[in-house]
Amino acid sequence: MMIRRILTVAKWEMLKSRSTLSPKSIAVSIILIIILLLSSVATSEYGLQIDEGIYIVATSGGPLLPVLESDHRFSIVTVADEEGRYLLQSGSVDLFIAEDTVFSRNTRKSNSALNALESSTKKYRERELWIQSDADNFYDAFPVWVETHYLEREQTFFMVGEQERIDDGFEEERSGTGGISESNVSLPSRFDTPMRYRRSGMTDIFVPPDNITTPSQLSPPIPFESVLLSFMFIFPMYFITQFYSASIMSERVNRRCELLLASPVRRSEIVIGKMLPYLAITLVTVIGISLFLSDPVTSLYILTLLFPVTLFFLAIAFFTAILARSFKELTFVSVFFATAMSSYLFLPAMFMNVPTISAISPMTFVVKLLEGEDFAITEYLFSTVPFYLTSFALIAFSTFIFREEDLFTQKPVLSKALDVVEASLSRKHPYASIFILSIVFIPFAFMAELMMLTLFFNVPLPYSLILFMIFIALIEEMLKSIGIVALFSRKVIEPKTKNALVLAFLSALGFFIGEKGLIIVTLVPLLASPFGLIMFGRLLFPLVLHTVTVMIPAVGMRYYGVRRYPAFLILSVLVHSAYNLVISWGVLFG
Amino acid sequence: MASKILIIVKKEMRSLINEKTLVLAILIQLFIASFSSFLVIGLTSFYDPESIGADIGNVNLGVYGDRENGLVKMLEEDRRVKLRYFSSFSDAKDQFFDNRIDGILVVPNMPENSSDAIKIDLFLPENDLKSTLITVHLKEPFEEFEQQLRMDDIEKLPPVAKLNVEGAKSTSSYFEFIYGLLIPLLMFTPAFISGGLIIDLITEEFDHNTMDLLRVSPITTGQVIHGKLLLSTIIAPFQAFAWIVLLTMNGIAIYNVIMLLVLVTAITGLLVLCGAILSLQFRERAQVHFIYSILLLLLFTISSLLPNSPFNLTAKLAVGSASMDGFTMLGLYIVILIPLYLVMRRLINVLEG
Repeated sequence: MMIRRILTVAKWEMLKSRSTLSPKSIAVSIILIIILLLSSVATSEYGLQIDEGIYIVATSGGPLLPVLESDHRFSIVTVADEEGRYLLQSGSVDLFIAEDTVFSRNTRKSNSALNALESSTKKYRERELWIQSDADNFYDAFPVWVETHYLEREQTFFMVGEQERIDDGFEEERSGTGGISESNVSLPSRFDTPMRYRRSGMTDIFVPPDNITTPSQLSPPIPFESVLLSFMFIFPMYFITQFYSASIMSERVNRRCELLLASPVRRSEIVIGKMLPYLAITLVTVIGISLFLSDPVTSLYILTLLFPVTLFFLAIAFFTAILARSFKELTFVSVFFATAMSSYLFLPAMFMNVPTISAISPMTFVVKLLEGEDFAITEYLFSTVPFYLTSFALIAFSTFIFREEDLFTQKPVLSKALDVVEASLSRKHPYASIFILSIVFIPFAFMAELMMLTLFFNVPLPYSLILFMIFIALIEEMLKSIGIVALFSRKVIEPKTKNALVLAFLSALGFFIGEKGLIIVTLVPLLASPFGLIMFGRLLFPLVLHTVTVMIPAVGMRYYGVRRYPAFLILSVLVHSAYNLVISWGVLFG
Repeated sequence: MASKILIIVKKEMRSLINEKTLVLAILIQLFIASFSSFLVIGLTSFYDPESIGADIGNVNLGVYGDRENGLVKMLEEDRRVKLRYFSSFSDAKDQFFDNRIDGILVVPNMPENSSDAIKIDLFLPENDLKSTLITVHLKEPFEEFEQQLRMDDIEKLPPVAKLNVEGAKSTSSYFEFIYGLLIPLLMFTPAFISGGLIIDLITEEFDHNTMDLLRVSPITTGQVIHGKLLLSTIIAPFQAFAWIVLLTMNGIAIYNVIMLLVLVTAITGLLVLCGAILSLQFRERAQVHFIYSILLLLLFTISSLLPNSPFNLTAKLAVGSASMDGFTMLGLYIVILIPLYLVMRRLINVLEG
C-alpha cells in the first residue's frame, strides 16, 4: 500500500516536470549541447591556452627561434641586438635572446620566463632528436632507457612538511594488516627490452610501452585523465538536482503541494516519492556514462560508489529547497553546496599518492576503478558511510518540516535551520531526543572534519594541526549544543540549571557513543596520522570533557539568555581546543 | 526614467543584502580560490613533491649492479639521496618489503658496443608519495647520464638547439598558475554568478505573477528589467576589484587594473544580457538555468579558440604582456553588447505589448 502511494507521488512528479519543459527549450538545449560537443572536440585538439603569450621575448634570431615558436607561452618581438638590450633593461620584454645566449632580468616574471624557456628547449631538443634520428643512430640519440616497476607494499604514513615519521608507535598498531604481494617479483632480464623496439626504417612509428621511457619522458604516474573523466559523472548530477530543487521550490511558491498535504498520503511517502524519479534518472545516467567509459562489471562497482553520492546530492537539494526563501537564495545556496561538494569529492582524488587523504572521497575509488585498480571493503565503508548516514538524516529532517506552517513561510535560513532542529525533537520526550540528535549529528561532524582535513592539508605543520583542532572544536561544540538552544529558545524545556546540566550530559553522551560507533563501522584508515589522533583518538577527549564543554553554553544560556549563546559557544570551543592542544603537545612539538 | 531605474537597483540590492546572498557569493569565490590552488598543489605533489615539503633526505634507495657505472657515481656526488648497496637482488627485495628501503635501482654493466642501449630498472612502491619523490629526483641524473653517453656519439647526431644563460637564475613556482589560471578564474566568477542572478531576478517576477502587476504600476516593465540588469552588472567589477586588492596585498603585482575592470564589466554585461534574453524567452527558472549553464560552457570552449579569449586576455593584462590586438579584442567584446541589448529590448517590447 505504502509502496503504491510512493509510486503514485513519483508518477505525478514525473508528469509535472514534463509539462514544465517546453519543446522549444528542449530544442534549444539540444542544439547548444551539439555545438558544445563539437567545440570541445576542437578545444581539446588545440588546448585551452589561457597562458598564451604571457611572456614577451625579444630576439635577434638564431637557433633558439624555432624553440620560441614551438611554445605558445612566448610572444616574440624581432629586434636588432642593441634595441633588444634596451627593451630588456626598460622592462618592456621579459627575455632577450642573441644567438644562443639568453639575457634575463631579476624579476619573478623574467625568471619564470627563463624556466619556461629552459623546459621547452629541452622538450624541443628531445623532439628534434626523435624526428631526425634514424635506424642507424637511434640508440646513439637515446642511449638510456628506464623501466619502472610498481610493487604493492604496506605503507607508512608520510606527511607533507614532515621531517620524520611522527611516531613509531603508530606503525606497531598497523603491523599485521594488509596483504603484501611479493609474488612474481623477480629481476628482469637486462638487455632484451630495448632491442625489441629497434626501428626497421624511418616510417616506423615507435611506441614503447608506458613503463619504458627515455629519461626525459620519465614522469611519475598521474591519474589526471581519470580525474577529468570522473568529472563527467558529476555534471549530470548537478543538472538533475537543479531541476529537483527547482520543482520543490516552485511548489512552495505556488502552494501547489497544499493539495498533496491534504491527501491521505503520508509526509514521508511524499518526500520519498518526489525524490524517486530524480534518483532513478541520475542512476541511469551514471550507469550510461560508466558503461561508456568501462566494462559492465566496473560499471556496477562505480554505481555502488556513486549511489550514496547521488543520494546525498538529492537530499541536499531537497533540504535547501525547503530552507530557501526565494529562487535567488536557492541558486546561491545550491551553488555553494555544489562547490563545497565538488571540493570534497575531487580534492582528495588529486592526492592519489597520499592514501591517508585520498581515501576520504568515493571519487578516489572511481578514479582507481577507471585506472584498472581495486578497492577494499573497508575503504568502501570509510568513504561512503558518511554519505549514507548524512543523506538519511537530511531526508528525515526534510520530512519533519515538510508541513504547511514551514513550507509556505519565509524565514531567514538560520531561523529555519533552528525550526528543523526543533521539529526533529520530540516534545513528549525532549531528553531522549537530545541524546538521539547528538548521535545523528555525528556523520555531519565527520564529513565537516574530513573536509577541514583536506582544506588544511596544504598549510604547513604544525599550523595545520592547530587550525584543524580549533575548527573541529567549533563544529563539535556547535552540533552538541544546537539542540539545547532549540529547546530553550522555543520554550520546550524551562531553562533551569538542573535541566541545563542534564541536557548537556545527554548530548555529550550521545556524541560520545556515536563517535565510537562510527569509528568501529569505518575502521578509520586515518588512525595512523596525527590528524586521525585528534579526530578519532577519543581517549583525548573523554566523556567528562564532552559534558563539561556542552555545559558551558547550556548553563550560560540559563543565566544570560539564548541571545548570548555565541559568546558561550566560543568559550567552550576555547576549552575544547586548549585541552586537545595540551594533550597533543608532544606530537606537535616534541 | 533614470531615477526609476535607480529605485529598482536599490530595492534589489537591499534584498540581496537581506538574504545574505552576497555573503554566500563571496564564500563561493573563496571556495573556488582555495579549490584551484589546492588543485595545483595536488598536481605539484605529482610533478615536484619537494616543493610541497616532502624531503628526499628521508628516502633510502637500494642500488644493485655495477657500482662503477657513471650513473652511480653521479648519484654518489649528489649526496642528498641515501644509497644502500646490495650484492644480491633478493636481499634488496626483502629490505624493500620491510620498508627499510623505498626503491631499488638496478644498474646494468656498460654495453661493450657503444651503439647499444642501456636499460635501467627501477622498482618503486605503488601509490606512494615516495615513489614520486624518487622518480622526480632521479630524472635529472638520468638525463645527465644520457647526455654523457650522447656526447660520445655527438658527430653521429643531428645538431639541436642549446641554451646559454647569462645573468642570475632562480626558480619561481606557481607564477604561471597565479596569472594563467587563478586570476582569470577569480575575475570571471563574479561574472558567472551575475548571469545566474539576473535569471532569478527576472524569472521570479514571472513565477510570482508580478509581471502583470508591474504593468499597472507607475514604473514600466522595461524600467524594472533595466534596473535589475544594472544591478547584476555593476556588482561584478566591485568583487573583481576586491580580489585585485587582496592579491596585491599578498605581493602579487597586477598590471592594467582599469582595463581588467573594463573587461570584467564587458563580459559580465554579455552574460547578464544572455541571462536576461533567455529568461524573457523561456520564463521558467529551471529551464533557463539549464540553458544558461550549457551556454556558459559553450561560450568558454568557443572563446578559448580565439586569440585573446577573455581568459587569455585577462592573464595577459594582469601580467603586463597585453599587446595592441589585445586592446582591439577588448573593444570587440564591448561592441558585441549592442546587438544583444537590441534583442533584449525587442523582447521587452513584446512583453509590454
